[in-house]
Amino acid sequence: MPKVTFQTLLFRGRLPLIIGALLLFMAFNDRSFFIPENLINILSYSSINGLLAVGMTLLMISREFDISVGSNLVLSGVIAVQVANHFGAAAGIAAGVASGAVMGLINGILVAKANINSFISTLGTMVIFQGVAFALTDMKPVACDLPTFQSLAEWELLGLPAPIIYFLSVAIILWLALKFTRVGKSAYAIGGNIQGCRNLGINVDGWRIGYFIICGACASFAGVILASRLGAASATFGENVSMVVIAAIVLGGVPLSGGAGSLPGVIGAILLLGLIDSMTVYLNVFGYYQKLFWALLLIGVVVFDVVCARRENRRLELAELLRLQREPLRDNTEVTS
Amino acid sequence: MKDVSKRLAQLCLSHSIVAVLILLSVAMALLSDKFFTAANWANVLNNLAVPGIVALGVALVVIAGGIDLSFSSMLAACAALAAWLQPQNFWLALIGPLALGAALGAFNGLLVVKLGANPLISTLGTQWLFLAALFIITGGGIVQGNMEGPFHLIANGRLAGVPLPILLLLLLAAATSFLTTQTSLGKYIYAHGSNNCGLRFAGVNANAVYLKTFVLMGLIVGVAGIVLSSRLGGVRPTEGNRYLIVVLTAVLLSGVSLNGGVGSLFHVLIATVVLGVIDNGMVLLAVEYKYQQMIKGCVFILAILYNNYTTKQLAMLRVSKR
Repeated sequence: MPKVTFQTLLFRGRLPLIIGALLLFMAFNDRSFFIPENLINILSYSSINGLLAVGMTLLMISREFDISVGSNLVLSGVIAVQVANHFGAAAGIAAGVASGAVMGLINGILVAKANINSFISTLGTMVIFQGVAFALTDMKPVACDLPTFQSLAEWELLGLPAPIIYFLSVAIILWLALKFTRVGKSAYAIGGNIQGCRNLGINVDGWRIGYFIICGACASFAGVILASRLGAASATFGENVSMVVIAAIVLGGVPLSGGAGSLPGVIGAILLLGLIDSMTVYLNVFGYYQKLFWALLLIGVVVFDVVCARRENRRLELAELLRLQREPLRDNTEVTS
Repeated sequence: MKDVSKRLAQLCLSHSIVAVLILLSVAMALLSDKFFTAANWANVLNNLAVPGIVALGVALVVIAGGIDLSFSSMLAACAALAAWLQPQNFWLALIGPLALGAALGAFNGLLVVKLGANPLISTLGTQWLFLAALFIITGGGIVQGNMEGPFHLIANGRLAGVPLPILLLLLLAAATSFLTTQTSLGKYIYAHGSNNCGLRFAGVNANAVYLKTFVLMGLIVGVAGIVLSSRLGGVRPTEGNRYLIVVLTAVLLSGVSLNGGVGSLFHVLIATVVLGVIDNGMVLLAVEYKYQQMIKGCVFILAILYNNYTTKQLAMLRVSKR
């Protein structure tokens, strides 16, 4: 059991600390921020980004990422609306989510089977998916006014709007999968040491394609919910979403080098993002201060992480040195014999 | 004889992007008689000047083993500064953007090199930071320069019939190629990308090399900012965003490896031209705009697959040689 220092406490609790500080600031500034409607609004607003983020968390733990989620969101919304207009709401929803899974499969095959770096391949598929959405919609927004299609995101449970319920249920399922099943264990293992996994006979490529499919399906689910809430879909939307999502996941504690991180951290980061957006509206500041703040936060956390990791490494090295001084290297004949 | 054919195969494989360009050009020439005219090529290359120059800078950083996503905001910031300074003093409008580019590059470099932050995520952060700062400083509006005088000539003048931006692009491509192949700094940049520990053990100040690469990229983006500003006259803060995908595509298409240490600046230039030819070809063949994006994406993925294939073949050739 490593010693819990003030620094590790700060490191682990940085997101709750930042969120707490922001809430405290708002408490002094504007009490009306805390009315339930606004808090629910923040959650509801965050649930689209949240769905994208929890889907990609598994992928990023296994050391890949997917830049195409923004286009995936757009294209699946377009497909859902167009299929719903022709074949009914249920078919539209199913087609939307299925198309996302197929997009994930394409990404997965390009990365795992064709061995293209995921940054490059998903950059390419991002352009392709958006291009397909352009071609399907003729670059105009498409609308769907079927009440059954719009009711997908209309209902409430215990005062919580449907998008929050969807987000939370997907998050809980993925959290359980990550924590208790081979789905999660493999993700950590592949992210930590992919060659080791191959040598152990783990079906590395199969798992990675699976994570891409999960990511794609989550993104398209978010796209379908968005389309159902707006009653429309447009191809010219969601270009920078993937970068925001990747940044949120990194803020949430999943390193780009993979093999670590947890889902609650990512959810915390998504909530922080929603909180900042809502705060800038409440404080009535120029919209780009929000982006400035978000950028400073991202840079700050990344630098903070690196500094912490360095000091932690130095501490471990020092402990190792002290241990060696106390008990000099034993004769290793025992080990080799 | 066998040796010659082997060497020929090696040459073809290692310059696969040139083969792509030749194939595309021949196909275009057969499909459209307007393609191989001087006016069309001048048009293609003129449109490529800004993304081409930026791609050279970004490629340097990627070869050194990093990546810089903040170039879009840097480009907009440099162009806006040039547009602001241009009515006041011509020389100031040249020096200012270069200095700003170098400073922003140095800022990225300090984050990545001195503090050891991951280049992808920290330059994503600085991309937002620079853009937000630019928005706040300019108030979100257009920065208007005037459309006359020597500054206007940078993007619109001609020397011996050739538009100046093309000359500038070729000049910079030659300069960076010279830098990477003929000077010690260039060799160190490659070495830093492929094996920075080795570089350190060889007694080179690896961090300084890495930092210099970032500053160099900033300078190159500064040049692109001047050209952009001179062409547009007025600069909006979001002006750089549309170059983000093009530049990354050109760099990756040219065979520069994201793992660092691999790639050639000459190929980056060729890859930019390939993208320009595809764009131009779709216009000449009157492909509907709504299909263009899809075609571009497919060509990109195919080119990457082809690139991977040739790299693998090349590696096998090298192995069989021993």
